[in-house]
Amino acid sequence: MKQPDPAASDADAIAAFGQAFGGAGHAKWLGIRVHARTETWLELAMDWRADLVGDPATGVLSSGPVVSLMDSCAGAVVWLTKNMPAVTIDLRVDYLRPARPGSTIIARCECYRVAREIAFVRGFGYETDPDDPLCQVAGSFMRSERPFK
Amino acid sequence: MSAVTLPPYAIALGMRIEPDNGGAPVIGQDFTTDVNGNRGAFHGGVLAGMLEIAALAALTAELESSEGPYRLKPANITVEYLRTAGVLTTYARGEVVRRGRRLAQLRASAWQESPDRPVAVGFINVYLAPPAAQE
Repeated sequence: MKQPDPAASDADAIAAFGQAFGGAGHAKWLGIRVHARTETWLELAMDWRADLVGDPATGVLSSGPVVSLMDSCAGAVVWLTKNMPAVTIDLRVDYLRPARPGSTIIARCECYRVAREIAFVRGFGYETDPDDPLCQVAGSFMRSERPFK
Repeated sequence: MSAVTLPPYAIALGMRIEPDNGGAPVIGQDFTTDVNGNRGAFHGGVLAGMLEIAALAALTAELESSEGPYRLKPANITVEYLRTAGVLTTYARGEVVRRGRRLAQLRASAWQESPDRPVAVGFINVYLAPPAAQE
């Protein structure tokens, strides 16, 4: 397995995200983009939009965009740090508190273990303070048999 | 039964409520560029969104209008991805497994060709905020 390169640049993260999600389609529709990375974790960002709202009375985002952001980040971090194209087996998202209407959401995910063909990912979403997360995520991913090319 | 309406997110993506078949509401979504996750398959997040919307629709349809306007606050969602959801129309239907006074435990399934071959299933816990407790 390819070891994470501490000197790897954001360009690698953008390339991994692009390879995992084609840089088009749903992630593009949601405006998801690479925000930051280290050798162990990846952050993706998504802006609040009125047409992503789930509850018009509060302006809180629907579950779909939040899960899409977390799933995209979790999948891309497996690719990025483990050099492993993977598909989601399961994903759990706990909503710790409502997202603030108008705020950009940042997802931060880490692949903390690969066992045979299965990668385990944990992460969370926040707005400005990583110590004040709005959701927590846990997922498992299976190595893809289809080459991601 | 209370009327089921789709949230702005679902409308923006093109989801619709399928014609009434007598059971819980069925949510439909055609395959479009906007739902494409990777190489001609639905993004997992869209499937999760459909499962939650279908689950909440099943709950809303079950809540009698006399019970007052509950606000539904999802606590968490767990999604199992079973098959690749390709370029076909995807459907989702929810089910109320248990409803207590304060908590509803929901299940939802998404499929393409046949409900017997689900592409994803989800479990959703929803807190029922009583009308008096709304912010």
